[in-house]
Amino acid sequence: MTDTYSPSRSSSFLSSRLSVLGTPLSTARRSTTSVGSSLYGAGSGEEKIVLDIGTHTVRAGFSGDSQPLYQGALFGSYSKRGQMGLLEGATTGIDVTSVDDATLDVLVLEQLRQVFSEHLLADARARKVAVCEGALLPVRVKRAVARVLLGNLRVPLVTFYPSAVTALMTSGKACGLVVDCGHRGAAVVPVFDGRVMSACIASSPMGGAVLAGYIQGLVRRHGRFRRFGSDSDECVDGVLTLPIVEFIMRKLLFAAPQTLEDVARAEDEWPWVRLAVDTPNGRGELRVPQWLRCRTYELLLEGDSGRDYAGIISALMECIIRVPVDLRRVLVARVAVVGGVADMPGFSKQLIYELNMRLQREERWLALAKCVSLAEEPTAGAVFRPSDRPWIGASLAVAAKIGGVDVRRDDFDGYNVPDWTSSY
Amino acid sequence: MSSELDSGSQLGVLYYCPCSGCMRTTDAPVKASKQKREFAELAEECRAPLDISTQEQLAVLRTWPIEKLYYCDDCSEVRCPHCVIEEPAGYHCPNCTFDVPTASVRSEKNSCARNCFHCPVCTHVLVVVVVESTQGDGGQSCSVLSCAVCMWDSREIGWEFETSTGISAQIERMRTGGPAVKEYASLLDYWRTVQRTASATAAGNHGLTSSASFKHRLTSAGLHGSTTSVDSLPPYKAACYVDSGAELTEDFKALEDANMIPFNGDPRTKEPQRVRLHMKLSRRCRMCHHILIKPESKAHNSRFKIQLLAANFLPTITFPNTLPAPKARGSLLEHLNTTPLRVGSTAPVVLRFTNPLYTEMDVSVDVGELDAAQTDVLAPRFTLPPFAELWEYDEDEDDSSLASPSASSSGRGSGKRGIIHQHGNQIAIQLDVTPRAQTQKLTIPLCITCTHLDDMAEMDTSDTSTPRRIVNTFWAYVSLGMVN
Repeated sequence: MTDTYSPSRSSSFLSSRLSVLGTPLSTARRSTTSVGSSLYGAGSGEEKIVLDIGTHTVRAGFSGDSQPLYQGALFGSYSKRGQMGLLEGATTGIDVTSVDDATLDVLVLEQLRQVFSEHLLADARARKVAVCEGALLPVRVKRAVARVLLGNLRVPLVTFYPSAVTALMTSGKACGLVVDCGHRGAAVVPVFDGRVMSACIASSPMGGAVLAGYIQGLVRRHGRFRRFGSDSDECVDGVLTLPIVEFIMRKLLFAAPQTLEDVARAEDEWPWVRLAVDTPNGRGELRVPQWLRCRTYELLLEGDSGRDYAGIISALMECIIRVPVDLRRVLVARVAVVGGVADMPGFSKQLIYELNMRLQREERWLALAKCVSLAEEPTAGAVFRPSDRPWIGASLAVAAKIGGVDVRRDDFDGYNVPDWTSSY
Repeated sequence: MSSELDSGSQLGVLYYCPCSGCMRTTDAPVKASKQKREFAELAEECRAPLDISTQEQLAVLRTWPIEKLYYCDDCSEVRCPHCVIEEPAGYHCPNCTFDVPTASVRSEKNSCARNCFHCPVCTHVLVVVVVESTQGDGGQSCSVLSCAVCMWDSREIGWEFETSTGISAQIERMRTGGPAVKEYASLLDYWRTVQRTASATAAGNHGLTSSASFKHRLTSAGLHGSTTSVDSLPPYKAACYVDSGAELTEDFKALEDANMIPFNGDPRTKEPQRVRLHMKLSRRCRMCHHILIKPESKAHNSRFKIQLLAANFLPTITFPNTLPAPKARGSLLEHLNTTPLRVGSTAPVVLRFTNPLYTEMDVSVDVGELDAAQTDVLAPRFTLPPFAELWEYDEDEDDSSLASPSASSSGRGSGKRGIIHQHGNQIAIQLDVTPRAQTQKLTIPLCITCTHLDDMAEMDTSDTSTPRRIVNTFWAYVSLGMVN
């Protein structure tokens, strides 16, 4: 299904579309009833549970809702246990690739049990589940999720939806280029006609984890810390804990082009941002330069040549080159930026701008550069948060009864999840 | 009385549940017997199922303190929180402790329908107060939400309510769908139309079932034989527009004081959040579907109708710090378990077993193979007396059992070698541990077998002559702390 329509059939379909939507009054009524399908008790048990298990956050909720009920850190409840505390509580960022299958099973089990019993308040055996999976989700994790849902929690049916397709659905498109900027890295996924073109996926390690490392390094070099009541600045090292770095990353950063003059100024002329922090030795004030807030995103886009990390723009170029020639124009005109890192204000705009600049550098891409634009603009703007889009799209797909890949409890033997890497 | 070491120290005992996660999708308990056989073999060979030194992460997740384990008396086996089936058994609001019927849980989006809100500034619970209205003509009273801790008021965001009850309903009426909800509704309409058109076209052209052709669209599996139909719907037009530059205001860019931004939670909403409901869970055994835990359905009642805990069926193992002296002797046995562990030197470790049953229990303790230390259990087999009320214990009994002919008259008499102390339904035994290597946390696996006669069998079977013998074998991981 493409977005263009042939003129000969336009009139009939236009009228049929209008008849579907109806007059403005009934549109308004229709919108409240479709919203109210969950408010007015018409949840007849047809609603499925929609899960989005990413590398850093879990989102869970019911289909037909416009936002997830719960979102929280993945494996956040995995902490010190027992009298002995055999494992020092690492609450976030457990590297999924470093644990073996049995441990992964148990981690996913605990996470999903907590989601079902504390946040969704649902009986797992009574509801079907739809899982929104990222393009580069390891098959082990997919298997573990299927095992836990079908085996331990006894869910009757699990349906998998590719997150790139669902993200585009929130803009009303079925083709486009999805840039998923997550915690572990960024993946550029081309989607055409509602299907992921898996052979053309490109990825970059520039994600939330790497960004946190950069912020830590920059604040350590250029930040200042002063304890309340003292006159002199102290070393920042001991003060920079993980929650503070996360706070800076999530709440203070934004993406906007800034001139070089800001950085080139003398250090005591920089404008600063102040933040009160707690340290083991007392409270103090951490000062972070303003230019750090608006320039750090460039590292993600451009890459780190010192460590040989390709930037997001390079991954985009790689993907565009891989995509068949006739589709490039269509895809590049619909770029959707989703993921946790993309929540940064102004990030998607800057990404489009940088892509445009990069394309204009070479003669062969000049024509393509003119077509670059975001999938959702200019009609919708930023109605949904970029990190919620895959979940919202999956909720839409389930509510509109658009099928995904089903796995039934009877057919599943513990290993046979649908796997695009092996079925090509 | 004796004092136990607090849970923050390095000594502790964790019990292992051999359920391996219970990921089977079939209901047939075919493999249960195979698992039991494997487990029994391991127990015979004294090989611990989990090697703590290499499988630390898994050990944390599969071993539990005894307070967290359940016991199915039908199957006579231990069950852990992973292998029980959880079911909802009632919903209530933690703030107003009102029971919520199941049907309204979903319709109220898992939040309390009454006046329970969290303050957006300090997350304390808000109270409804009647104040004078600032809108319209002064002097009219209205209700507002106010926080008793940080003095935040809902008038700061312009929320004033006519009545003091049913605040959530009034709020819902006030904000009938922001842009996200409207946009979602219009997208849903669009995609429903697409799906209907696609299925109609497909049915017309190829005679396939309705969702089949569109189903292929969302799989990542290659191309299909049928040509993709070109749907001629006009492109989607959004219902709402929110400026994407709205967040990037000049104020935000020039922010100087980051303390204004709340540390947790969404900085965009300064609205009070509704209190989320809690769900009571009842738990069933996976094999026989027996109910193990059933709470009272009333919210304010925190008792349980059915409560089958492992601590009521298996002996609890603890590390005593001091043991009370028997009446006849003078000295108090103290400073137990305080000897620091060093490589090569033998340290005595005292473990206390407590029998929760009303019948006698025969316990046998075997040590699993371990390279890091050599352990001698001085009392590998002993019998735990039954549990009885405190006043039924006769202090002299302890002395007489210990003062057997071979016992010395010193304060530390032992009728049987290895048993340090015996009081009521508790026995303290001694292990001699000789560490062989330096390690941060020395953990010893113990295989413990308890046998007792089942006095309940008389009610079930007509043959009362031979009550059932119930044998429970389980592995306990005893952690002893650092070895220098």
